[in-house]
Amino acid sequence: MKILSRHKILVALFSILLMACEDPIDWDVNSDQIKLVVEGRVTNEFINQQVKLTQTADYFSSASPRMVEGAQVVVSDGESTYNYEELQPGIYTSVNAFAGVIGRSYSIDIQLSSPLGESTAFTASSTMLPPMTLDSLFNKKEATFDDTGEVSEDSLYLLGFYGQEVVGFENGYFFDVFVNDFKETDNVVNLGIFDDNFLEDDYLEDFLIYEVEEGNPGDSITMVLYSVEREYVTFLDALVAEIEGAEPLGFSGPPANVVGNFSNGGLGYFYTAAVDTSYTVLID
Amino acid sequence: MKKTLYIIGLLYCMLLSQTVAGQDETRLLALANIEQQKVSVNELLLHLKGLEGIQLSYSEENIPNREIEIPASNMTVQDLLTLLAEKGGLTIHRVGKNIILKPIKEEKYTVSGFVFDEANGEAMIGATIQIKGTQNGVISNVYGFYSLTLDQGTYVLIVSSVGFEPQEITVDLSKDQTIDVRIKSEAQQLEEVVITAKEVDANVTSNQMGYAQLSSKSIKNVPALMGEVDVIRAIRLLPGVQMTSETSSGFSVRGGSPDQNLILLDEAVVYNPSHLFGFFSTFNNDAVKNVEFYKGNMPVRYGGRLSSLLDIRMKEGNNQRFTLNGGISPISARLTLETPIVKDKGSIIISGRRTYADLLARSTSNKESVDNTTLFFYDLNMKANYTIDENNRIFLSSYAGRDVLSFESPGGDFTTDFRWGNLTTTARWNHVFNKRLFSNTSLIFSDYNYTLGFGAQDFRFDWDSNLRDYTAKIDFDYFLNTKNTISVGASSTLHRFDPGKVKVSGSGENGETRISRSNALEHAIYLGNEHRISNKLQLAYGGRLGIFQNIGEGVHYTFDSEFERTDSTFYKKGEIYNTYTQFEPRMSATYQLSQTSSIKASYARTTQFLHLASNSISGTPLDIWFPSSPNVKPQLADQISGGYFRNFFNNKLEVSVETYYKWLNRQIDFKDHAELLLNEELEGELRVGKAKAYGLELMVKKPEGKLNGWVSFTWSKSERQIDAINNGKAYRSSYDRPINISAVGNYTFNKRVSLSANWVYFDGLPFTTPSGRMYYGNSIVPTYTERNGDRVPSYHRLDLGLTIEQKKNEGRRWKGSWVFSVYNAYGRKNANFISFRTKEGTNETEAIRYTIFRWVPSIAYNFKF
Repeated sequence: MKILSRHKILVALFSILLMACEDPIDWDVNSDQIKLVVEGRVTNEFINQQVKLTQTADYFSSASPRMVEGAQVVVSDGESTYNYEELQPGIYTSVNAFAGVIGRSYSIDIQLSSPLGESTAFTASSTMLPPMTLDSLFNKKEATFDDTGEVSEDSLYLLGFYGQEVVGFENGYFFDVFVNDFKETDNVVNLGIFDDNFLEDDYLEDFLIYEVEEGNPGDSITMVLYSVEREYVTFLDALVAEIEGAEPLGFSGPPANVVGNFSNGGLGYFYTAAVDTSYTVLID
Repeated sequence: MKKTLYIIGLLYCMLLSQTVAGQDETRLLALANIEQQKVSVNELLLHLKGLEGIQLSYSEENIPNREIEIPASNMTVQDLLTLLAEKGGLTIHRVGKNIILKPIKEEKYTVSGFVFDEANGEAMIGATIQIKGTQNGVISNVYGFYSLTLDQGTYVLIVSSVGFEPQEITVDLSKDQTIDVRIKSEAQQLEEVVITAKEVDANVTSNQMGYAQLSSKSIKNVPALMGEVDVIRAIRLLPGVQMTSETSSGFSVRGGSPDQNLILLDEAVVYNPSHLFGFFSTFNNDAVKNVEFYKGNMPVRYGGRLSSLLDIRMKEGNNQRFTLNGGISPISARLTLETPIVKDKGSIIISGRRTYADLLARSTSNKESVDNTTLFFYDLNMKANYTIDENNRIFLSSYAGRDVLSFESPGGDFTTDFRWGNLTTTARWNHVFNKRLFSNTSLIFSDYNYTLGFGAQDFRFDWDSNLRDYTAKIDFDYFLNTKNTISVGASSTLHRFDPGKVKVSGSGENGETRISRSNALEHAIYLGNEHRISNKLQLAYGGRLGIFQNIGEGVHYTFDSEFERTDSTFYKKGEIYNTYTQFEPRMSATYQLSQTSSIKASYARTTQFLHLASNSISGTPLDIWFPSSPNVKPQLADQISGGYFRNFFNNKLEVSVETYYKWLNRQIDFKDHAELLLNEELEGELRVGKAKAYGLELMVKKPEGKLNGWVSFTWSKSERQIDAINNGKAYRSSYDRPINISAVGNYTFNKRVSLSANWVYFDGLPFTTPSGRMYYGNSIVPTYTERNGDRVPSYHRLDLGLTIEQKKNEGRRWKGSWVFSVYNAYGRKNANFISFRTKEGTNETEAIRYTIFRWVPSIAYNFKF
């Protein structure tokens, strides 16, 4: 059911009707104050955890993001404190490897060498929820149609799974899909995202969740499922809405900043995720 | 002032009476120098006053409005005084040289009845019944009923309505009388009236502001998009009315949102007035008789929305003869049938319209994908009426409209099916209690629903939503006298909300999710009076008490300050768990400065208990209405307005300037990235704040003639302030278009050919542009500083229409006409919206303008039989 997001349903319906003509025009926008953007997480894997710090840019700029260097990053879970070091510009890695613990709350403190926005200090926190572990991941082949309505040569694989939705919490989930180690979910829009809003503690049977468009029999599929707080999925949904932009007739509502969980006007998110990995091989 | 003069005059006369008595008998016997003619009492008195040595004392206000016949030209002053005493309804006292005239306290009688269109027996709404030679009169109500209570005497009544020949009726009022008046349509060449004024000088004399009345004929004159004549597109040419978007049937009145307009079809609320996602409205003009539009100071009889009232009345059906009319346009076919059930007593009308764009596409394309797409809408209007006797008339009307959009993949593996529409039914009983008291009782049903379904091989998804209203109401019009018309009444509505139910079936996941249903009662009582204080000053005042109650079965959620749900309470069936009571005072005044100019002012409070969850500018069929509740207080607005009205060239040119200021409280907006559909906790997505709107509207109109039309100019502002939005700073409302110009013209070349044109200019809609970008998860995401901080480029458009009537064939009843029109005649690329996207394969971002309509030509053929 979540394969088709509600917005996509509408846009699909309306595009049938819309004889809109599109053409590029010159448009000036006002520049904004430069702000800090954080992308960081703690997982329950025993690894060197990572945090990326970048800054916002002019809307029409086409350059790669500018990294924020020379910051102090510290993560703590109330019992231990983990220091981070900047191994590459803007990429901060925990000095020691550690695994997040289910049920603990992690908080991050970022101290910049010079202010972004009006501040140099930013904090956020997130609690690690139990993971959903899949009982099995499966795939099935679907026929597709070309423009003329003929059966197309390109086949489509649907991925589905069986598993117990985590009981007793408001959960969100997102997942990466790899086809022969190639990451299909290379950006936010392609991520698989769902939450338990309509699932509430169900056992999910035959839960179709993802389409692999160019797969061949024998390809190996890896799905890495991240169980997170529902708020993070809300954040991801908002990102997708903003990236896809104002839709014809404005279904997505007025655009607005995607607000994460940082203090002092910091953008981005610091989240905790419990990870579960499953595999399947495409069949004919 | 006059009274004082009169009293002083009287005292003065009494003092002098002794000394001057006896010397003026001769003057009374002198010839009065008046021709044999019909004159009003007032004119006769003015004549006598002008004679040398005659001193009359009277109060102009009290002189009866009647005419008397001067039988001969050699009448003396004495003769005329006697005549005045006999026929003029006056008592005459002589106090020395002074003659004091007072009205005789007479019996009052009532003349009442209905005004009909002679051609088809349709009741005439808003016809004027005026006593000749005076300003006094009444206006027929929405069922064509009028009642005038006057002193005994003989009167000439002039019954008029624009587009109709005024008719004079002489009434000898010595007892109560019932007179039904049938008025005739004016000759063909005068039909091309665009927006009708009630009478020639109604612009100046009526106690109405921010008001327009449109007949179906005048709506037809506006060049139509794809040949589909549309009430709402015509309304949007009026000052103070903004279109929300080109593809929408929504409109914003004086800065309000589209859901703040009360849209009634034969008294039933039409919750979604749009077809085809808003390209067309649900009102088939062939079934429309009359449209009244109020921009805020709506009559006390109506309430429940903040910004405007669009009151659409369906035709009753020809009770004189069978008629058939219809037409075809590039996208639809229409047919309307009218027939008497019993001549003069009852009739029936059935009007249908269906679009056939999909059928056309199928017949011209061999593509299977087209074959399997269904896309159409239809409307069906039906109405029947029967006059039981002179005091009782019953009506039954119904409207059903539906849009269908479905697709089936070849082989039927995948299907989608989307339908939505309104259904309304109104049963009415008009009852005349006595000559002065008219009542109407209505039972009304209204329903809006949609279903959206998807099916794949082993999977189905069905989504339903509906809203139903059951209303009972009673309205009274009490025609107290020529100076006061009282309206009083009550209504009660049960709203049933079923915002969404989703059923998923098939292998694997099965289940049903239902957003909690809820119910509410909405009651109102009102009392108002239209009061003519004097010939110069008219007032309308009254109040409306609205009561809104949430009633079980239902669930109420409690939210904390972070809008997180903290608790829920269930209420059992029939349990009233929340009540709002709101009093709405309304008043307006017109002061006539001269025969050709007046000033007007009004104040109105309005309350809105139902709200629309819509996050888009243009609205969608999926938007749902939700009730006020313990979490959602009713919206409230106060509007003051003032205006100067002036007619030039003997009422040939009407000019008005109106200005208004509106305070809107408890305005609802939605949090950023709100989820409004299928959300059990919708109330948690709401953010509430204040809004204000103000503006100036100028209108110059030439209502009649070979060339007629108007030019209007609106300057307005509208902004909102909501704590949780735009960092709490005020922002432009989504419909704020400061400058808006409309020019509408019709030119009649001859009896067969007429040309119409309209040109509109709107400042662009506000929208939010990005001010920066951030990278997250390997994606570029825009960032923003100000809500609605930018504007889409301004919008302007010219539409042209040419109507050619077929040559009239004597003896044949068939009358056909061709309508050629071009929408957006100079093909401007108007931006419907601007959006931004990343250029394919690059990191660069570009702005994209979306244009919907350029040069849309169409031909339509209409016929009457």
